[in-house]
Amino acid sequence: RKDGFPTLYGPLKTAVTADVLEAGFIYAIVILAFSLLLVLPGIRGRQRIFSLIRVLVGVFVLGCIFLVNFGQEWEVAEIESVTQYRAGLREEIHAKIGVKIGLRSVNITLKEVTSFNEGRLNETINYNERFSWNNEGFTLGRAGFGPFAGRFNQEYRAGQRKGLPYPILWIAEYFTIDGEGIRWGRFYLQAGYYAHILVWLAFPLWILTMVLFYMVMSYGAYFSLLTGIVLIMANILYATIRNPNQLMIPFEDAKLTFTWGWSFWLCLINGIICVAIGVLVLVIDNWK
Amino acid sequence: AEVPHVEHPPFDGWYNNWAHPDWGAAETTLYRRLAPAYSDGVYEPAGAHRPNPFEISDAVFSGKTGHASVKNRSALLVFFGQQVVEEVLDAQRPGCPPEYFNIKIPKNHAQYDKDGRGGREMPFLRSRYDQNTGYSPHVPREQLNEISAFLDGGLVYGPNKAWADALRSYKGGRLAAYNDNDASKPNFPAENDIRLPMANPAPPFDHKLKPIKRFFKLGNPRGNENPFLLTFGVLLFRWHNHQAAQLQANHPDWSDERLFLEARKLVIAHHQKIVMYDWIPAWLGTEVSEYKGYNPSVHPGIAHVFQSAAMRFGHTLVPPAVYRRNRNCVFRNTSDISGFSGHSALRTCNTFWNSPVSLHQTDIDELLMGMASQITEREDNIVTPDLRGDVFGPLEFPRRDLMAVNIQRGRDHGLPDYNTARKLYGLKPITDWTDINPDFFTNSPDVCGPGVLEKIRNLYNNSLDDVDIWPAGLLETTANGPGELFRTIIKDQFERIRDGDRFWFENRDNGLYTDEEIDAINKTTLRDIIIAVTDIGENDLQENIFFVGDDVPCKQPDQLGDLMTTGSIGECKRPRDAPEVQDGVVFDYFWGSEVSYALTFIAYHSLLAVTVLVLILLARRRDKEVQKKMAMTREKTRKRTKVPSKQISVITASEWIGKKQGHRNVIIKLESSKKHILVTEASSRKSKVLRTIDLNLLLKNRQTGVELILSADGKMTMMALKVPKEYDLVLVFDDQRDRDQSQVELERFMFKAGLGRTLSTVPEKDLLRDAHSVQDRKSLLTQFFQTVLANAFHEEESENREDLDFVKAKEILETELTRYEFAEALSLKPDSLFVNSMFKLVDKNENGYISFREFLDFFVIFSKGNADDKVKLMFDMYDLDNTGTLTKEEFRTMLTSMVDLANEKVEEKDIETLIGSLFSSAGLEGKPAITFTDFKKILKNYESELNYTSLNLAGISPSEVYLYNNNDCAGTGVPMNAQPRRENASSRARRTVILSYDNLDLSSASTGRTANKENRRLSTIQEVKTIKKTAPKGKFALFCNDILRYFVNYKLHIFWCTLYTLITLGIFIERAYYYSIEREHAGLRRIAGYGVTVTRGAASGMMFTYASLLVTMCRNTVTFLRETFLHKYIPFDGAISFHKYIAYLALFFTLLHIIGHCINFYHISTQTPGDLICLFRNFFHATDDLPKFHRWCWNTLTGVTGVLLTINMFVIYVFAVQYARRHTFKAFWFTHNTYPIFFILMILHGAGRLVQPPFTHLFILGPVVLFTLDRLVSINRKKVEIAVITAELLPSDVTYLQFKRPLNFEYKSGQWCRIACLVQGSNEYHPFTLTSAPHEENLSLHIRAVGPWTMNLRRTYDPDHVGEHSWPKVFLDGPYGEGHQEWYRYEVAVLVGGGIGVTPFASILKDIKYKSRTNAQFVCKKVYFLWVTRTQRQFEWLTDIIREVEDSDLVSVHVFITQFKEKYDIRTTMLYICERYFQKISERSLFTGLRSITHFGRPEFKQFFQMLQVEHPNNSEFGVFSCGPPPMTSSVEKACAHVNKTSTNVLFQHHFENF
Ligand SMILES: Cc1cc2nc3c(=O)[nH]c(=O)nc-3n(C[C@H](O)[C@H](O)[C@H](O)COP(=O)(O)OP(=O)(O)OC[C@H]3O[C@@H](n4cnc5c(N)ncnc54)[C@H](O)[C@@H]3O)c2cc1C
Ligand SMILES: NC(=O)C1=CN([C@@H]2O[C@H](COP(=O)(O)OP(=O)(O)OC[C@H]3O[C@@H](n4cnc5c(N)ncnc54)[C@H](OP(=O)(O)O)[C@@H]3O)[C@@H](O)[C@H]2O)C=CC1
Ligand code: HEM
Ligand code: HEM
Ligand SMILES: [Ca+2]
Ligand SMILES: [Ca+2]
Ligand code: NA
Ligand code: NA
Repeated sequence: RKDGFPTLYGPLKTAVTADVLEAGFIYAIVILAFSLLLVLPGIRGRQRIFSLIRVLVGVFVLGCIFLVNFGQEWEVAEIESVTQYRAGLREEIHAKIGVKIGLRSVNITLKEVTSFNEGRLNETINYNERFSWNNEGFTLGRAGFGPFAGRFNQEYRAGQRKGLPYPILWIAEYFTIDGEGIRWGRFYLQAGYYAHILVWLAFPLWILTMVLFYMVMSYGAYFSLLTGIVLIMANILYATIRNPNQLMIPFEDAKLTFTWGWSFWLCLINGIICVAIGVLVLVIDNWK
Repeated sequence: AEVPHVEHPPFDGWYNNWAHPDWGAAETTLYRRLAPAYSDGVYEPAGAHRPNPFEISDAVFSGKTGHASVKNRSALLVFFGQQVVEEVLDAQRPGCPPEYFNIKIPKNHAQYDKDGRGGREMPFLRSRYDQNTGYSPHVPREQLNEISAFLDGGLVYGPNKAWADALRSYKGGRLAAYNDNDASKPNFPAENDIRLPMANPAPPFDHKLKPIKRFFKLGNPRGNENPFLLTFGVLLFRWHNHQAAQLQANHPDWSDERLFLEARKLVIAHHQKIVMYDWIPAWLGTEVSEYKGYNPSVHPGIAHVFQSAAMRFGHTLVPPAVYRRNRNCVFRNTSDISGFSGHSALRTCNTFWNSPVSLHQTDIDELLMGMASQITEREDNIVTPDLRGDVFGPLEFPRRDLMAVNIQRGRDHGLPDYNTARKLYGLKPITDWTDINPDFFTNSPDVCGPGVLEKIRNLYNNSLDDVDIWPAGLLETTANGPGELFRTIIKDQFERIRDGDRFWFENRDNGLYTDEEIDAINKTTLRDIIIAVTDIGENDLQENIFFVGDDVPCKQPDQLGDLMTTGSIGECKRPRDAPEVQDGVVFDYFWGSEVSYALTFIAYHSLLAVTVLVLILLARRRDKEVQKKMAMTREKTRKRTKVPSKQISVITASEWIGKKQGHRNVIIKLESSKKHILVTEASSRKSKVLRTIDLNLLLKNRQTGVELILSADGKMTMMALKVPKEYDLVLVFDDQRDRDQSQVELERFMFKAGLGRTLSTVPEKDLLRDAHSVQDRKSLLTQFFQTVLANAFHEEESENREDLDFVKAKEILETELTRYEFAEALSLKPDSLFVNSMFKLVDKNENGYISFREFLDFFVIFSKGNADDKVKLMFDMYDLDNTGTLTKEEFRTMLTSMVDLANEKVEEKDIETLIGSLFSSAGLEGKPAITFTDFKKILKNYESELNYTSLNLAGISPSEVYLYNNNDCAGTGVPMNAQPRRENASSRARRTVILSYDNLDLSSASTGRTANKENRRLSTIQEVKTIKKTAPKGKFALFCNDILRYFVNYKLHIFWCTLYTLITLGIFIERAYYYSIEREHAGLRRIAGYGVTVTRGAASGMMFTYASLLVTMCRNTVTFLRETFLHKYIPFDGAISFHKYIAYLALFFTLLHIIGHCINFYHISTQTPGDLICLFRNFFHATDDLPKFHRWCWNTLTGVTGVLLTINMFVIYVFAVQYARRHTFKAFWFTHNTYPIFFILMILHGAGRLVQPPFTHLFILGPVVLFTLDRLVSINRKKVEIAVITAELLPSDVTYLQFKRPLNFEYKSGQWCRIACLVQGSNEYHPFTLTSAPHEENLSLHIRAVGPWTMNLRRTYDPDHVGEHSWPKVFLDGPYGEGHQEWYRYEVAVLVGGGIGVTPFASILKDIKYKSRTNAQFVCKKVYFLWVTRTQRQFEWLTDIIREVEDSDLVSVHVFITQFKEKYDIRTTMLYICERYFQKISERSLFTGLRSITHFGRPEFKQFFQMLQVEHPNNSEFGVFSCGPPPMTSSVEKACAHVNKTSTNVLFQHHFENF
């Protein structure tokens, strides 16, 4: 504040760096686990250990289900490449280009590796753009970019109007084409759609599992199995619904090639854990 | 990165213009250069009044081909022109949803209506448009251009970057080639094996869809349309690779990316230069303006009029065929590669969409040289039939008229008329038709065809005001090229494209090209390119390849076309001409679906049939199992049964009792001494006599014998015994030997009895058909009694008798009752003295039967006679020897017979004492016999009363007052008990007798001990008025009354059902409205009509109803809620009925949905592949693939789940019908529990998203969560198997269950519980009121069989079925309900039970009795119990309990029977008739054994309460507890309110519960 001017702080130009939703989930899970753990001292004896295990496993699996559901990294690709940056600019930039595909959307990041263009380009190049397809029912909508087109295409058109950098538009564009053999957008949408149904389904199933473990052990085991199978099914469906043409997006120095991301693996591991718990409890239950 | 890069032009045209980033970009609207002329100003096609396009086409564009271009323009110029179009414009795709704007084909059209059928149409789909436009007049509909308008190499590189990426080889900046590694193969673009989405209509030559893979991978999605166009695609592809290779050679350090972009940059520039400065001048016959630099304010967009009219000028130049030649001037004949051989050139129309074929054959060289040598069609109005009639089209119309399409397209895009267009382009309007083209029309009219001017003038009614641009514009054509209008439009367009392009090669400001480069570009010609990338040499082409100049190295042999003199070009191949095409139908999209369609529905039907069949088989099997069990039981019985004496022989068999009732195990005892045949129950637990056949009667009536009928077929195990006047005894034996033995046995018995028998054999079927079964007899007797009663009470109103037809009436008149039947009708023991006496009395002719007349006489006396008559009747009844006097002996018999009814011997001494005191009270001591007068003296206390209480059944007077005054009764107590089957009947009878003594003693001796009691009794004087209910007269009135009563009883049910139904209907209508009105013009609605409306509406209805089904099954929630105040408003007990109601509502919607889809799927199976892609966005199919019905039905998620749902539904419903639940409950339960699958399928069904985003879950989620939570509660409940201690089948279908009380089961009287019977499915709980009292050791229930579960329960606990096993166990849940717990807090409590609502009082009454005895702090002094019931029949069991409590003075009981007359149940009627007398005598009801007075009519609560105030003047708080049907509880409520209001400091507190 100077000279009686209105109060004003300097601008804080930070790009979106973390996924707020993701962080929120992790926070929620941690505080839930923490609060439940505080209850433990009130329980006596061996029971305490069982409760501890139950609480930890229960909250862990539950948390993972949410992380997996809203996690942005079912498939990922990242490269560093020289690339055109925007219209009206002769210079190319050297950038880190990343694509993270979640069940509902695609995140595209573009971050300049500064050494390349040092000093010449006075622009902060650090973009993280999201294009989603989770409109009602993940429907594709009509062809094109009009008001009845799918959400992704509309967001892409908005991106064009907004004037996003070329690399981001080029990548997003891959998901907007839908015809004959070129239907990556459709396939990721379908995969995301069915996987998200299953992962959502896993959520109430796991809640039921936990409740049933307090009632009838064997029912709990069956539901744990079911939860696991549903999660693994999500992986299987996600991995099988795809274009026979592998998605590869070429840039000057490298091609974006996609591999499973942590969300995919976590879903699988979580599923396997649930199955294991189910089997284990059933075996123990039958032994007795 | 030393050299700075340049800014390369974008692929899609975006960001070319800084002010308007989307100008000229792909997927933006066309440029509206002329004012739109939509007929509605917004989107409806223009030119509603313009002539039929076909007529215009015939009038203007027809004519012979083979006229050569006047200016010797070459074919190469023409096809290069087509290629230019594809560079700047693609607006061919139809819109989505498809909008058909078909063109009517005039009758007798030479090509399309050869048979003159008329009514044909050519399909026309309106163009795709920006769906932000076309809503209102300021922004009318704007069609879209899918590619960029710039000359930016889109043809080579595709409309966007991703497409370009797909074309690249990533080596040396080159595009991927057909066979990159094999230099010997022609250098074609790679095959489209990744299936880029190029246009792929069916080639009309093959008339079938072909895979998209066959095309070359080009930038231009339509580049494969014909081989001549494709030639340029390949040429430019090679030119790019050529440039890349050169750049690589010059800059070996450049990356692939850079090489690619640099090569592209050059290719674009070359193309721009050739188009703008070489091709346009040749095309238009005029130069474009000089380039003045980039002008950012110029819009490069493609004008509608350019798209729909001007640029189509090329159509007139298109030749009907194209030459191919080699460098040696050899013009190639067509070979058979394309299946079209032996002609001089490639016929244009036969190459559509098969382009690569010709290229593979000859490479592009021969085509280029051929086209360069060929003079194209003349610049005129005549268009080759390859376009005008044989251009490609959809499968159902594979050869279209492009001219008609052009005209229609102009109208579709809202083009104004010709003169308006001219004006807006700054040209002067035409006023005289000949001015359109003075040269044509005045100088050389033959050029344009004879009479064209006349024809067009007539078509447009000689008016130039509204002429389509296309025909008039084309008529302007001159030898120079397009006429004034088209030339202006085209020139304007290309200049805008050039001037508005920031990346234009001449724009030195964009930094793309160096000056040297620009110079080089300006020098490059198409010819140079051809020579550079083909084997064509300098000498093989003329200098200007756009014209066939004199320097052409090889002259064309002939002008191709109709006027050819040598060779031929052949015909356009048409499926229409093929013999296999019937009735002129070229293609029916349903072809190939017929079989699967039919089979699917046949399969559905057979499946339904199979399901029903399985159900019947299962039911049969279960019935067989039951029979087997019965046979086993019989076997055991036979072993166990010892023949008691020589006099008695025993037969074990199974008795057939009726079609519905089936069989029961019986033991037949033949008692030869008594000449009786006894039919007894064959259970191990007891052996009740079911029937006695008294052969003495036969002898008495001089009958000669009985009839024996044997079955002659089957297993020969049946035998029917026909006894006159009785129903037939039909026996089924285990085998024939058994039957034969029994037959012998029977015959021997008959013989001993002195009776004969007639024997006959008939087929089993006939035997059963002709048998007069128990059931037949029962219905006959019912009618018998009804007729008697009707006659006795309604002699005046004879209408009831009219209903009987003569035959029936005769049958009834001839019917005679046996003593057993008589006894049964009264629910009395057949061998009791009372029945015997009564029977004797009625049986006037002493034939051992009661005939109709006899019974009627007896009744008339009872109902009509005066008191004397009635007392006389009683007197006569016991005047056994008919002496006119009753000996003491006879009087004793009278008393004993009544006691005898209770199945008990009373001590002689007691009876003697009783008689003594009775006699002495009447002053008759010492008399040996009493006369009728004496008898009356004994009854003297009642005589007066008997006189005025005339039994006028026609209507009970409302003022009728029944006194219940103990004093009056005293001294005449005659104990009797007519309940023969009560377990504690004997002790009760004894007690009753003792009690009578007590009272007797009282009145005569007045001891101090009982004085106290008397006082109390005295204080219980009460009047209970009843409300008279006049039975409505006539059938209709009766019916109306029933309906009215029904409405009153079920008003809440009716309200909720109606509300629910209306909500469901609303949901249906909402969707139906949406799809029929709001989406009227669009989508599926258009192809499937109201089918969609119905199916979508029904689908929503289904979601709602199926979801609600779950809600009704949230048993714990329902149980919980019924305890709350909500129960007043919502009849929770109806949950199950509601479930069924909803299920049938759901079934209705489901059937609607399925039938609707049968129709929809038919419609869908008739759609074009293109429309399907649009209509079913989430269902993908390739362009060469035409999904048939089976694909939709069996290969989509929605289809498959639909089929599975239907099957699942069939099974659930079939097994849910009453029959199934009754006969094979397990199957019902098993199939019903597939509901999770059903709901999962339902979610998946919607998840397929075939038509709309899924929203099933929105409906289902809530109910599923609720249901799941509810289920968790059930799961959490500990289930303990509880052993049943006793089960008894009580009369009127009541089953009595007594079972162990679980350890911690604490309950209050009046509460209820839920039980599940283990053998009937451990999950199905039903609620029942506990009839045991809390202090009792065990729990007991009285369960009336009303539906499948309760009937099954009765069967389950039927001793016959249980056999020797222990009783099946039950699960118990509860207790629930508050119970009427407060009653003992009030000094005076009134309990009112109505209908089934009395059940809780059973427990309460027992509890009262118990508490009054044990509880010191028991404040309650008096309890009034009012029992309101229609008929007593169903609640006989309650009387036992009432009887128990009645003896304590605490409780005073009143029974109100409200419907005895309507029901005409003989027992109740007898009750009504006799109670008046017998109760006066015995103090107890003859029939109920209760001391309480039975009233007839509904109670008058108000007066009752007022009277209570008088009765208990010191009491200020009365507790009123009622339980029963809502109307009753509410009238109690009203009465309380009234009394509370009218009297101060008295409070009637009402608590109630409804059942
Ligand atoms: C609180 C309460 C106490 C009852 N006490 C007695 C009693 O003491 N003695 C007696 O005979 N009957 C009693 N009933 C009625 C008894 O529950 C039904 O007659 C019986 O459940 C009928 O089953 P069903 O399958 O044989 O007949 P259905 O033909 O299937 O049904 C006949 C009627 O009973 C209702 N019903 C059916 N199944 C159930 C169920 N599982 N839960 C609730 N209602 C159902 C139906 O909605 C229908 O109105 C009581 C009902 C309630 C609500
Ligand atoms: N056919 C029909 O219309 C109906 C048949 N039923 C059958 O009857 C059996 C018992 O039915 P349930 O539902 O328990 O009860 P009910 O309908 O039989 O009613 C019980 C008693 O309450 C009486 N009552 C009704 N309203 C009043 C009132 N406002 N004031 C005084 N008394 C009143 C009735 O008299 P009243 O006879 O004068 O109505 C009846 O005697 C069931 O098995 C059911 O199937 C039940 C309802 C309707
Ligand atoms: C018991 C049988 C059936 C049930 C319960 C059922 C239920 C439903 C429901 C609830 C919907 C709406 C889905 C949503 O939009 O969320 C629906 C839609 C549909 N049903 Fe059925 N259906 C049945 C049978 C069939 C059959 C036999 C077919 C034909 C093969 C069929 C074809 C369809 C189609 C095409 C749709 C539109 C799907 C969409 O909106 O994406 N159904 N059905
Ligand atoms: C597809 C349609 C139907 C569905 C989804 C459905 C669903 C259900 C569900 C979930 C239950 C509870 C089962 C349990 O407690 O385990 C149930 C019970 C029942 N359903 Fe249905 N139902 C359907 C059709 C019908 C039909 C058509 C009828 C008979 C007309 C019927 C009669 C019953 C009865 C009587 C019960 C109760 C069994 C009991 O007494 O507990 N249902 N139903
Ligand atoms: Ca272009
Ligand atoms: Ca007789
Ligand atoms: Na022509
Ligand atoms: Na009785």
